[in-house]
Amino acid sequence: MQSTFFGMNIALQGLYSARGGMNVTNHNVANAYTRGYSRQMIQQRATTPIALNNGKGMLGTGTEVYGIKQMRDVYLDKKYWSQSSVLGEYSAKKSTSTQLETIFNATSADANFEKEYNNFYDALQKVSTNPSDASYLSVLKQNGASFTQYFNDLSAKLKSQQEDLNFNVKATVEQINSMASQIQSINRQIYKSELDGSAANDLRDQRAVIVDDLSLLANIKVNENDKGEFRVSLNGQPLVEHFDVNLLEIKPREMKDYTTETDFVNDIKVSSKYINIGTTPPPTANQVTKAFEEYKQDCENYRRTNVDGLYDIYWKNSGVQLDTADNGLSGQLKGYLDMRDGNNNLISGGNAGLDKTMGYKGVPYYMERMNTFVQTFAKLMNEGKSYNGTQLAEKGGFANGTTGIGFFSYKNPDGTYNTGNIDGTDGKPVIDYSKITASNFSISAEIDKDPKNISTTYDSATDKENNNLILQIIELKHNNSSFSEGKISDYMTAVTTDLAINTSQAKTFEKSQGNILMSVENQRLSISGVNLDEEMANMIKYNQIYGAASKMIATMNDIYNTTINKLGA
Amino acid sequence: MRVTNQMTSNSLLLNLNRNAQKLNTLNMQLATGSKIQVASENPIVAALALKFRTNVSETIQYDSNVKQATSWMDVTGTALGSVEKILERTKELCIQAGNETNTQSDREDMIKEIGQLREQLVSESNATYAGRYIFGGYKTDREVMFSKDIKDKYNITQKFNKEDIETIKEQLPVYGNQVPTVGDVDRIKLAYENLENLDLTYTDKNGTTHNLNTSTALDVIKNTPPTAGPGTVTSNQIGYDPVTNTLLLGTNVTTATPPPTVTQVNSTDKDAYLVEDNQVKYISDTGELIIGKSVITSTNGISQGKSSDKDAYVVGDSEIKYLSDTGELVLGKNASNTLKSANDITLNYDKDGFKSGDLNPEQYFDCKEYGFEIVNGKVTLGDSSVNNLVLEYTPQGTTIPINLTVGAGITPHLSTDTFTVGDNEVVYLSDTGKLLFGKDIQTTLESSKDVNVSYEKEGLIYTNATIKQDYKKEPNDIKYEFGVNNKMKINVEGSDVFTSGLIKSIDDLLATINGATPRTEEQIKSDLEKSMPPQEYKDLVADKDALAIKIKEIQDGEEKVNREVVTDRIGKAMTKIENHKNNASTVNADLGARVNRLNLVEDRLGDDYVNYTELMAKNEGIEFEKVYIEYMSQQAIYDSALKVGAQIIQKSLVDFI
Repeated sequence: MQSTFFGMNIALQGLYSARGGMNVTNHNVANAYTRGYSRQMIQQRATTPIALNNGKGMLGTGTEVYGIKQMRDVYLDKKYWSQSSVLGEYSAKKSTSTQLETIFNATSADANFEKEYNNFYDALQKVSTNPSDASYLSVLKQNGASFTQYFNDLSAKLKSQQEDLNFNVKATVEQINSMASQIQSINRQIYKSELDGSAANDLRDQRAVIVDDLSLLANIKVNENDKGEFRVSLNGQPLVEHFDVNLLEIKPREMKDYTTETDFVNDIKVSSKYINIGTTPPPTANQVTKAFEEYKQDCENYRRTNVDGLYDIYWKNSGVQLDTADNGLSGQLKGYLDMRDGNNNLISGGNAGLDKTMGYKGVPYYMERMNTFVQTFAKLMNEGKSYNGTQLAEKGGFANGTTGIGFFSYKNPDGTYNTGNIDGTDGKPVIDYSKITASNFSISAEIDKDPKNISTTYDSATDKENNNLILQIIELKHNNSSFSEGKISDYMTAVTTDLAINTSQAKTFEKSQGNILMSVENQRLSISGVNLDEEMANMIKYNQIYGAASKMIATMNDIYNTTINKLGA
Repeated sequence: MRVTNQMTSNSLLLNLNRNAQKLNTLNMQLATGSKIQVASENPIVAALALKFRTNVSETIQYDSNVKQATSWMDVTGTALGSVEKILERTKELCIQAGNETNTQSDREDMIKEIGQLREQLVSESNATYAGRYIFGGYKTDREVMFSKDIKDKYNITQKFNKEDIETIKEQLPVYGNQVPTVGDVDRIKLAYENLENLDLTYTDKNGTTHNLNTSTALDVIKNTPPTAGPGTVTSNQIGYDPVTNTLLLGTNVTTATPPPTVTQVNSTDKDAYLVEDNQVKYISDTGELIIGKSVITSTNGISQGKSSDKDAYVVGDSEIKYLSDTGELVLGKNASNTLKSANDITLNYDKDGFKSGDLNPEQYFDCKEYGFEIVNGKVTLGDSSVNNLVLEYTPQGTTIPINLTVGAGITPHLSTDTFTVGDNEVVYLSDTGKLLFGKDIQTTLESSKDVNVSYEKEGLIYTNATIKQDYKKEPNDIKYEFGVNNKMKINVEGSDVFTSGLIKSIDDLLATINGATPRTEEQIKSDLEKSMPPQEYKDLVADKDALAIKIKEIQDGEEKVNREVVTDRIGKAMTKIENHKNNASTVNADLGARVNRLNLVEDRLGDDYVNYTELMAKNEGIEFEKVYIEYMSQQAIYDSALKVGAQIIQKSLVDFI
């Protein structure tokens, strides 16, 4: 026999589940635009029916809510996380390359290489029409100095760009650490919450948002096992292991300036890259000296294109260095690293442990290209020799003229200028081209002191109007053998085009990757997102159920009223 | 597919953002007029833009060069035109001068005018453009011809060829009661007068190089002592031994074969001074040796004389004589023939001080400027506070050079110090860069050979040596660039127009228009008295008619000779001036042709400028209409996207419940 209030219970269950449905709907509506929020649904089912004992069938006993489920497709999440690191990498590259482009300023009609270069050559042309006029020489000196200043500024800007990138690397590492710690802490909460078998939907959403963000910074892999242990690895190395976290740390790159060969040899960690110390018989003194020279050369190469104090990244627990040159690495971190360290394999300071040969064209690449340019250009103007030493101007350059003074040289750290002299007779100091870099490129001390030291002729100093040297220098402008790229301006065009193509590539990658990610995101939203229309419909639906169940109770009430009051008395 | 609200808003925002980006790009294009703002927007356009802008910049500079060159050449053309006019007028004056009916005052007027024209020529040669002497070759800071007197001393090497040897007519010296006659004289007119240390070098047709100079000139000893014998003359001397009645010949002197006859005469003898070509006379009372033309066959040196000498233009067949006041080299018959067949004839000489109107040797010849000159007992170095100052000299008669340095032989002082310079002392004033010499040391230095002063200044070593500056005469083509590897000569060198020959012909003309001043009767009489045997002269004077006839005869002869000489000179000068005028015209025509070419270049550059700017505009510039239309349609798209978006986001079921 059924309980008297059996029907009442069914209606009550209906009320409860309608309220539950209403609450979930309300929660969904409230979070309709919450980032990372996944739509939730109540899981509802009919309660176990009672078998009628006369074999007439099963009687339904009402409804129950047995869970609240979030609508989420793990496959799409994984897809999103694997794609977003590429976007992170290229958006970092795009923003940095765009800034580099501004530094080179190639398209502007104002201060850029082409403007300075043309000004220098205009001044040369003017001198060629009146070599005896000191004021023209003065203009040539000024324009020459301004030309060198352009490279000094460029180099300073590139250096500051590298410093910014270094800071970005640091900030990115810190972000990764912070996110890893957050994931670890959420892992704990989820695990605890889910011990009783329920699903911590909103915590999971929060965690997924952090992973979304983390996946932009570096290439990560996410794995959650059956036991609910959540793992994140960064470039194959564990970052979060359920309740444990493996953080990264940064240390400024060490550059060791050994004063003696012994100091060098004793620092086995570094010297072993150059020489086998422990062999029998031990290396000869000559071998040691050679190795030490190689090391110093590597340091010098590195210093020419890099600022001091660049950070290396290590795993805090193991102390192992993160291989920043690994091609598998991606994400915003890789983007900044490529831009900070990328030298397109131009510089081989790798053995010193200072610098990785990174295939990408980053700041050091452009720095080295500028260094090469100013060295070659200085030699071309001073001696009329091309990049490979071919004598292009038959009688040489400025230094082969009557005054014997080269036009270009370099500044010492204290700001004084070096000589432009190429003839070392009588123990006079001579210019060392290998010391010229874009940051210290300058006119020579003699010309800085007096523009009359600019030679205009190879012949006699009394031939005031003889401009044959200037004409030769002017011809060099159009000589296709000056640089390996061709003419002087071709070299710079090649560099700016390199940059333009790289930037353009980064922009395109960023855009297309953004589109891919957008489509994955849309697929995710299609499943997880809240549709207000749907929720409204649900609201009405639950409202109606609630109303109907209430009506059932009222009806039941009537029945009881009748049964108890009218029938009893 | 299920579409959720966030999807709608995401894609709306994305699309709005994309539209905004497009609008921004178009907006930037319109604002800057340029297709791209950064190279990465279109690397190809950016690379081309660099190229075109360089092209435009170059074209502007080339155009500026053309304008500079045109101005320069215009000034040159004006000066050359003026030279043509001057020479034309000079030629006219030559024709007038040749007219026998000219009075003395006519001639004086002509001389005045030609003098003026010559001055004008000097001033044209020094024409300037923006303060630069346009005819100065590379040395635009030096005059082509001096406009004022110059004190500097130069060692000059002048080159000649056989065309420079000219045959002129000259009056031959008159002895006794001879009637004057005209003879042909071969000469070379040098660029300057009053030269020293002449040194002539030539290569004969056999390829042997010969060297003649004034120090090895044949020296005829007057009054050879009676006891003289062989060996008492030096290698270039010729003397006479009265005892053996033979000639004493230096080892370098050879005489004709058969040997000349030597006769002793007295100066009062009839025709005492007349000799046959292969005859030598010894005037016993005066000790003079009168040597016939063909006696001496060796050419050892250059003898010297003045045009006022009686026998100025009389030379032995093998003799070369330098007349210092007119700057002529008079060549004997054989010497002349030798030089005419020789190659590489160069004459090296020293010239101390120049007159206004002289050629500037730096512009014309290989030359060296002597830098060491002691003026008022001091030498100015040109630099103060120098290091390692060395004064080196070799006193006459010694071979060991003496070195003096500051502290060892040279006393350092400041010009503000109070000090006296001892007679044998050298003082160096470090603040003014002067060397002061005591009286005795100055005398020693002035007579020394190889006086050198050398010093260092800021690492450079200066040698203010005997030779201050060395100049080489080479083609001085001033070239400008008017296009890539398109260079053109823009100048005309003064030495090509204002040649030494031109100036010297005008000088010659000035000297000869007047001709020789005829001797007065009294002068003729006095000359006759000197050159005739006394008895003959007495007889002549006694016979008044005979004397008058003789004087008339001599005067007529002189006038005839004079006219002949003048006509010859003027004729020659006229031909030369005509040639020079033609030369100036040719040079001017060549200049004109170059100006024409320059005009073509200028037109071309104008076209280039237009082409390059057009290419530049096409490459990086935008078509405003097109971009504007794009902008408007993009704006419309953006607006509608906004409107539609607002609708979609707003509406949901919520609004309808």
